[in-house]
Amino acid sequence: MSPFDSSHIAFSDSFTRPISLPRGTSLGNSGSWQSLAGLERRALLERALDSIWLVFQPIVSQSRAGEPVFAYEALARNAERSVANPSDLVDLAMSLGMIGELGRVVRTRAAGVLRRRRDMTLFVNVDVEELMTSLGDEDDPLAEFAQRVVLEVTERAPISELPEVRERSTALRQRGYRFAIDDLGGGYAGLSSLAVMDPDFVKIDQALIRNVDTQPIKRKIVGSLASLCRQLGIGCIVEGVETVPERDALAALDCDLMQGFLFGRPATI
Amino acid sequence: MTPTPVDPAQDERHQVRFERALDTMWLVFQPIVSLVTPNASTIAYEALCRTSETDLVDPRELLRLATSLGQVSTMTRVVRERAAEVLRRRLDITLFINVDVEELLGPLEGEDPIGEFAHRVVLEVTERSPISRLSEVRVQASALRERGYRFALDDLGGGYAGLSSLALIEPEFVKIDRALVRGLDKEPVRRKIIGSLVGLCRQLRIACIAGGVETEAERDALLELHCELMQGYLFGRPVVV
Repeated sequence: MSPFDSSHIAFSDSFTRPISLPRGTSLGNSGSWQSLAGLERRALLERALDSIWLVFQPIVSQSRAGEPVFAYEALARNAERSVANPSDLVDLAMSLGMIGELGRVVRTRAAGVLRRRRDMTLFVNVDVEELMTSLGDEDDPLAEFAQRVVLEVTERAPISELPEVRERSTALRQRGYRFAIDDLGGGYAGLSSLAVMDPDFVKIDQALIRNVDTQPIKRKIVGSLASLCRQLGIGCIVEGVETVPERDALAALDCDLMQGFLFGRPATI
Repeated sequence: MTPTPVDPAQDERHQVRFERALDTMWLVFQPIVSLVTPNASTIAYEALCRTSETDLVDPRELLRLATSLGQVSTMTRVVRERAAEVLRRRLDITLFINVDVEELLGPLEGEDPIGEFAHRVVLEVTERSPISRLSEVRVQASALRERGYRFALDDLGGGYAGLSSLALIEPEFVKIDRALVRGLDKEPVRRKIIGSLVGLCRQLRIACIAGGVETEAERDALLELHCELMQGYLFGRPVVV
């Protein structure tokens, strides 16, 4: 999930009351979690973890006309206003050294859905740091569904600087998990992460998709990434598709898998 | 940048270190070569700053310190003054000068020391974090281009430098990240990634420079991918000119 991801502007189930704001937006009275002392921070995180629920956004295939939904991306929401933005929640957990706990709650919720919906493939966001946590344990809630799980890795630091990532991803792949790299071509996700992680999927950064129909340079960049992915046997997903002209321009570049408000907002299932 | 708690005494110490570093700053130059012909010919130099403050030897550390003191523009001015001396003396050289995105946005006060040499200067933009003030960056880049400056995007394909910045800045040059170049002769995936970047740059009429070339095998693999501009220890370490 990139900071530009408009899906961060989450909505309650009725889609009316915004509960999350883009990063950097003033939170008004709710204040910033950074100003809290350790114990209060910890209490905030625990309240947030208790209230976590998942919403799901479809990833559709243009070539599968009958059943277009190829998979869903699970996105975490929580009821604490000051950390309503998922990246703030990750930052808070990180500051307490509790990224493992956060990940485990999300994965437990995801496992619940995978148990109920046997036909479903789920993209689950994991931070690079999280790959090193209990995610790899045999009794992890997701382990039994690994074949239907794509771990969508978000880089907050260059992956190439974490040498152990390659080994760890190989071990997880042997358990059945597949991998996606989030925001390729965007802020942090360098092409070198393709060489390090050898992912099954990549998601092309939304900043490259926005107005792709009217900006030739973006079409060339996206076209080049899509063709590189084909050469490397990597499934390429374009994110943040919001308009019909964007969809058509992307389809003309042979992009098949797409995600964005045009196809469905994050919603409960 | 996360603001750090303010401690006046510590700030004072940082200020002293920063000023000493600027006083002792000098530039070294690493050649960027063209292998279009069999003999490598130097087309430009990248200017890299050095200081004798031992804990600030890494230029990124110095930039971090300057940022935390809110004095990036002071540092920029010193680097440019040193660069201008060299550009004045050596009329035949083109210089790649590193600028941080933040530096690009904060205009210099007074006259720009390298303004008169703009046609021989390539501003090499480094991203330390995803570019946020997108429209400002675009406006600033085109204003500088009108004055004669060209642009390079540093570390393309590496940690932070995204392809989206390519669409934003539309540079004349890109430098392919050394992390991708390292060992490309042995790794087919890296070759495909670089081949794709080179092809994209050709379509966009951007000249592509491979950074961090250290071995002949790397050089030959790059030539096979039609990447003919290179920089790295194989062709010369940073030296004074």
